Amino acid sequence: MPNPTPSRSGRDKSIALSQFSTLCMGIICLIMVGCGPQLVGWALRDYTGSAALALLRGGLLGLGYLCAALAFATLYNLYRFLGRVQSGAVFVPANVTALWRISWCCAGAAFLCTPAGLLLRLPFVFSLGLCAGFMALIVRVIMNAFRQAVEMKDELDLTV
Amino acid sequence: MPIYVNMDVMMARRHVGAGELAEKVGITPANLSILKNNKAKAVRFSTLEALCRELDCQPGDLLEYRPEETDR
Repeated sequence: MPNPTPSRSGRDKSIALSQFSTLCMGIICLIMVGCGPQLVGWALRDYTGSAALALLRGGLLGLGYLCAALAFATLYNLYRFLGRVQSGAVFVPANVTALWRISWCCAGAAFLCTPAGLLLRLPFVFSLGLCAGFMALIVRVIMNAFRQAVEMKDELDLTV
Repeated sequence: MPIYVNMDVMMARRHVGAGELAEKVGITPANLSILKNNKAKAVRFSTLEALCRELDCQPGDLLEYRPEETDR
């Protein structure tokens, strides 16, 4: 029967892969920010002849830049979080803070995208907002579990 | 925490140093220091048993309850 718990080197590789993926996502975000106007044009390729197209284009571009800022903040916190996990500092207050920041970034994206999707009548933006809200909820649950674990670890460290 | 560990008194009575006691009890000097300075949040029965054995005393000689003063 295979061992369900990965070995130390396997764990390190997994964390290194996660960190690499986070960096890749950062680069993708950077490229998307650079190609913002083209991406907006591609997303709105079916919306032709509308008088409000310029407004829609501007709104979507602004929304994209705001979400990019939140994505960078999320990825930065995630990268630092993974770095601490790799160094063995798992249940530490800094990780709880990182998860708290990530959850607020996701919530921010949800608050921006959900009403904007409705206002601009763009279903994919609305769906993105809902997904971000769901992600914020999941990260918040994990954050609360981490907070509890930090308290338990503190108590265990002071048990003689 | 209103529970105080009075180890200094017992250690002085038995003429035992912190390093020697830590070694006899089987805990690290750092953990003994945590215990002596009332920083501990919990004490294992096995540790308490070893302390009582080495210091030849009762748990009540080591632990003391002092009610916390509340401002009214």
